[in-house]
Amino acid sequence: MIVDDNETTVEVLKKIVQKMGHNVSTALTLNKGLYLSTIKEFDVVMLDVRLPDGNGIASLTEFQNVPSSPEVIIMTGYGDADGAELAIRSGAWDYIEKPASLPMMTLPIIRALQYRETKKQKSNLKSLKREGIVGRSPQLDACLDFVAKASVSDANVLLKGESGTGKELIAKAIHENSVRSLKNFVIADCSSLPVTMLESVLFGDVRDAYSIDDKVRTGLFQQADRGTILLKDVEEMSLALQKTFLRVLEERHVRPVGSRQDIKSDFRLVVSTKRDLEEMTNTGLFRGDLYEKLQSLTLEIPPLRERREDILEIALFHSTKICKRFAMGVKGFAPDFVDVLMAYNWPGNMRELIHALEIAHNVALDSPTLFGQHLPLYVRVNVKRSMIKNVDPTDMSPAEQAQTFPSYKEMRTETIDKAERQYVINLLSFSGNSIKKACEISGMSRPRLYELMKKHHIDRHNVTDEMP
Amino acid sequence: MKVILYIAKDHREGQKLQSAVEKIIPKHLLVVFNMITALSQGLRGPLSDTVLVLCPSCKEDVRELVALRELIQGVRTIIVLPDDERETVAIGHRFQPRFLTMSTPDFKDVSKVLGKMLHLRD
Repeated sequence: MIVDDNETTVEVLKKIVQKMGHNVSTALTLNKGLYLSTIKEFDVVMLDVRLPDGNGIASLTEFQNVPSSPEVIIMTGYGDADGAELAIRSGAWDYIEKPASLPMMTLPIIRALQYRETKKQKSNLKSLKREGIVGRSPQLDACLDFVAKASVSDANVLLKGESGTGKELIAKAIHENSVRSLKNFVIADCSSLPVTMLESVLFGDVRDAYSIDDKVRTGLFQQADRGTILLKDVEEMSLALQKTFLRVLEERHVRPVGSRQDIKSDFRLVVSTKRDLEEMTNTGLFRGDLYEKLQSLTLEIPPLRERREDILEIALFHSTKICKRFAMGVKGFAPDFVDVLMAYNWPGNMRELIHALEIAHNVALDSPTLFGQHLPLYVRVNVKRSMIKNVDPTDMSPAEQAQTFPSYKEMRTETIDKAERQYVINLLSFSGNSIKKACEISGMSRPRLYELMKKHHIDRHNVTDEMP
Repeated sequence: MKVILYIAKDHREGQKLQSAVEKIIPKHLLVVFNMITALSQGLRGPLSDTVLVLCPSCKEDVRELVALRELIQGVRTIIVLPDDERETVAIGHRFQPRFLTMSTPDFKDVSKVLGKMLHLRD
């Protein structure tokens, strides 16, 4: 809305703003402007200072207090520095000196509208149901923004991220904010279920195909009818099952194992993975057509080390919950406790942080405050080591040197880790980088081998370079 | 890894489930409760390295367990439901279980899933 008593100014401005693609209302008096702002919604009000029935700056708050709470740009006379300062101090978004060039006129409007858009998004995020999702980092805001968008859609969602980053919480938030929230949120954990059971659990089965009472046991997809199903660790699915799953996705029908009848299910699908599905597709471990279908909406959830500013808030949130569960009074955090929390890298992400907090609370049962020493030893050792890595031992006092000398347990863990890493490298090299062959030779399961590769940061494609 | 097993006192097949679990879990890592009040006390400790197996005897029992949901949030849970009625299943999913199943004569599926969960943690 443009509020100015100069009809020429109003007409020129109106054309400029309309050219920018916006609807414009105009008012030649303050009272008309105020009236219009109560019956219509405005994003921006361009308000002159000297109006026949009053002062624009004096009425600034009235404009800002209407339900649409628009951003107000004050238009002052040329060289009126005091008026400009007063406008800003009074909470105006910006001021324009009249007469102004076209860019000087349009730029504040563009910025005000951009700011308003961001503000709207933020307020949308504020109203999101986000149980257990804690933090204010820009990275987390981006995830919540994704939740907001995904929850108004019905497209398949793919959540990527390391273990413990909170993929399940994000999936739950998408469900809770969607129209399906009153129906079931079903979790199918592909890594916890034995391969031989997965198909029956997902799609159901005929309990006893040979008895008269061939009762069908409902599968998770059927239980997710009109609700949401989260397929965790989808990479664990066998290629044969992936084929069946693809058919279910295309037809939205499931056929219980041993049955000849299809059952319709209107489910919303969210899939999570901690692996690189694209790489798995390239190596033939995951179907390309299925991968295509899954990634309609994709979110990469950042690891905790990439949103460190959230660590303390997450720790406080879970500390309160743990204290409640342990039936103990709320505990304070000593500065050295916070220092260790902030310095550690949390490779296991939130899950590891919560585990460490549980241990700390358990150790500090009678202490009203949590100190660094209450945290698990491996966390403290890791932080200490990273702190002294660059210090020359000869510069240390004997006591400090003694502190850096590893304990028997540390030495043992380190030695085993080194041997374990070398074993996996040798194994992959010997098996020609074939995971299948490596599992056969070592007797390890596929998940266990991947777990070790991840633990020791071994990329099987670089194994030859890593050989001693 | 610790396993907390809740089997409702009046569960007909409870003993069979306990025997099935005992075959895979060393006794010192298994804690068994038969009353919800005792279970809620048993949950007052570190749980991040725990698998919870819940075996309520009836729908009412399932509903009572829901009151503990806040305590067990994030804990890997297996739930063995007393029936497969739509409402019971819906309540069962509120626990966000890793595995939801119904009582079977031998609880083989529970053993298999629990076995795999333990294997993954080793």
